[in-house]
Amino acid sequence: MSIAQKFDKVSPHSIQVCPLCNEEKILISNGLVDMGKDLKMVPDRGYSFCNCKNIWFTDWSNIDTRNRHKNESIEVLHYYLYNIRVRVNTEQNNIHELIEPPICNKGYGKNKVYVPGDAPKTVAEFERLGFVIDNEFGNWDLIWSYHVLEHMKSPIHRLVEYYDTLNSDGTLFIAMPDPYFIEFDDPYTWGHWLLREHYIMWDMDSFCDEAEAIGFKIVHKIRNIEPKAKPNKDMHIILRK
Amino acid sequence: MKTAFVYRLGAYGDVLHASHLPRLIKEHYKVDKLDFETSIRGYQILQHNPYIDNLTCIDSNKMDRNSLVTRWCDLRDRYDMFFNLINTIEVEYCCNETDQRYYRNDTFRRTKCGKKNYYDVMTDSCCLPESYYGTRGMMYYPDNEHTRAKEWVRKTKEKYGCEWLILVCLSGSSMHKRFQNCESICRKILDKYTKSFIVLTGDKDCLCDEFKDSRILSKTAKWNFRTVALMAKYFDFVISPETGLVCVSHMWDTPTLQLLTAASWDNHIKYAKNAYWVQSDTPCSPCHKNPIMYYGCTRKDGVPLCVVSFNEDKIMAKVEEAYVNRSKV
Repeated sequence: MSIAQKFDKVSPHSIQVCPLCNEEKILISNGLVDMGKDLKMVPDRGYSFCNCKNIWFTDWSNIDTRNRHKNESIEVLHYYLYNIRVRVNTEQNNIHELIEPPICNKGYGKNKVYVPGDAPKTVAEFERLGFVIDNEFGNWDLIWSYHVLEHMKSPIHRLVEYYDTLNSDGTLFIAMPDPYFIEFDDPYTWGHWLLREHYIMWDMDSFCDEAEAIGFKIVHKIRNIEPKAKPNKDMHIILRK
Repeated sequence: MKTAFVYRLGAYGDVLHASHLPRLIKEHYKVDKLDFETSIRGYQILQHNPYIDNLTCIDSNKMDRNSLVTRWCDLRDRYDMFFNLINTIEVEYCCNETDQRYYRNDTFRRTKCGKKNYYDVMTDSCCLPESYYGTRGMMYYPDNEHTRAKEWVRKTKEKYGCEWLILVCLSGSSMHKRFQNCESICRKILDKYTKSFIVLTGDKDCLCDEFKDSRILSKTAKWNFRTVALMAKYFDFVISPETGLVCVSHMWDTPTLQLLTAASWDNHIKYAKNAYWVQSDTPCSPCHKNPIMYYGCTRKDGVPLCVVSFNEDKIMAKVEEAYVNRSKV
């Protein structure tokens, strides 16, 4: 048997089509389903990897769109409001400048915030801090997208929508599962193989490339190991329009 | 008496990239006696190396991790210096599928893994100074073997009336080291260069890829690697994907055309002379990955995309360049 013949002997059940490039990819990791008290491994469905954009993905038919996955974190919100400063180059004189927290109430008026997903505590906290919550009309100053994009069927399309509906100099905060934290000796310690919920999970740098191609500027990106920022084996990215 | 032990397993190319180290270690560290343990493949590379006092080989597939580690501890006790070079290139500069770097973007890997020549990587692994950068490996043969190889080449040229003898490797050990359009390229060469003659080589898995012509001779699964490595010195031109053979032919300064998929020019070719190369046209090449299951790789015609993405016109242009330059060599 030739090498090519050996290579080609892959069970058809373990092939999935990449949602971004439509190429077939081998299934690598089994998915997990939340059974209430614990997670159960699904033997014949799970996640594949594609090097087109360095994404882990499952088949959309595995996703339960009725699943109202709640994932929010006031700790992370406070972390970015009170603990972190970012530096940017000013275009005029190319000097690194310490600026205000990337997420705050700026200017004289109230800042409009959009909080996608199901995050009632986050919404309440923003209101308490004086932001205006507006989930309908766009022209936002801040979009707080905490663990939302990995549930979307078209995350890039949603990213474009975010860009179009942000005000000039508006801020987008994104938190997503980060495959960087997968331990290949025991991959299921990375708790994001949620077959019914997580569709596409990105390599951080590859996602930032896509965002920059849309027109965003990356202000801050980290692999989240910060104790104050609720380490969740995820990544945090702050983008500006 | 100062003693040193070097431990290096791996495939042909891996051990070849360490073959310069015995001389450098003896010179720099003033070592009197150097023993070297390697794989069965590595043994073929390091035989007759005059800087190795005792060369042994093991089949690591028959040893478990605990046995290996115990052996290393014992060697550390028995020798003044112990160089464990296991997984130096393969893990640091070629990302395995159990390495999170495998799943990151190509730019990251090209920056971290693509800028250093593998000989220099091995030089660094022994904490040797940068003044040794650029030192390349060497294989050693008795004089009579050199004579026989030269004679074989002379007789072959005489028998087939050829002036340009080309060695072509069908495939290396991995799927992304496969010369997918070998037959097409070889036939173009034979059509264009009427005095050329091609010898095919490869292991037993390449037998089904053989093709025939009156000006093609196949030594696939007939010559062992050590024989092919010596013959590469006396051929006029070598064409190969990223295999140990191309590393050897670069070592001899034989005019060589390398088809790069996972590795970069810096990794493989930087210090080579008479070197020609073509990088695969696929955007992900070089990827600096060491795949086994090819997770994430796009496949075409059952093989990784990088293997089928070589532009044949580019390859032939390099062949023409080598042909024109051959009289200057």
